[in-house]
Amino acid sequence: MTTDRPAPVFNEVIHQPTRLAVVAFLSGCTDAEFRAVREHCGVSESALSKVVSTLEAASYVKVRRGFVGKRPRTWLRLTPQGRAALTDHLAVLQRIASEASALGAALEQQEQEQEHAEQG
Amino acid sequence: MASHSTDAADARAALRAAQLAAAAARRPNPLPGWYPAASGGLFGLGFALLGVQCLLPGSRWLLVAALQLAAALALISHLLLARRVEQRPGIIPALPSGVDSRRLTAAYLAPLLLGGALAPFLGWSGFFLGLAAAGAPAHWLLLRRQRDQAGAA
Repeated sequence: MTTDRPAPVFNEVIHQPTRLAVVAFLSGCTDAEFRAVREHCGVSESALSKVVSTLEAASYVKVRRGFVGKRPRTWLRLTPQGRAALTDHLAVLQRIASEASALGAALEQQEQEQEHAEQG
Repeated sequence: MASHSTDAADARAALRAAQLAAAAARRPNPLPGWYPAASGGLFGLGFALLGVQCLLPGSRWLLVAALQLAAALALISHLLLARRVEQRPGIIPALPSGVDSRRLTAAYLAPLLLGGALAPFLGWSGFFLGLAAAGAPAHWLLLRRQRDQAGAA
């Protein structure tokens, strides 16, 4: 069976650790306040602003500014493109990890076979 | 594919970090064990009392008022409990994880449909009793499922 969807690709924009943490955090909720994301990721306000700008430029995150009473609030939301990019990126990471495990198992088996052959 | 130099250890670490981050946004602790039953019970009690008070004749106004007050208390308690247990500052939660979207839609639609089906025969009373009869188990089942999924994660 063939699908129209292209194969998942390694995403350099998302892979940077802080960006990955932000995108993954946002994937677990509908919206999150800037401060909640900053507290989770353990980064400074300016660092998170840069990360959010990069993700916003890539259309992965939507930024919404508003007020709660008189206090300004910034809300972040993962866009459908961002969610798809994260899913693809995680699939690629999973594949890399699985291939390495399979290769490791194959090498181990080959070594065992060689040992048996030498003993025999 | 873009060129990259991620080895298996990096990939596993990134996957783990992503899983932890997503889980942190979802819920730090599973819902308390008593919560699904309490939430469903208060929802059902509130609408059942509203349905019953509609059936009473106007001459029994004192009982009607008492039932309305009890219904309001039950429904307000339901909302306050949900706010206290489920709300997380700065985060708007996603739809219940681990619950199929069609089942979720059915769980929310079933009480309205049952209420709508009873309304032609019993009026508002039928609508409220239908909401109570289907809404209480729907709430309980959804929250219990959500709790089980969080516990299994």
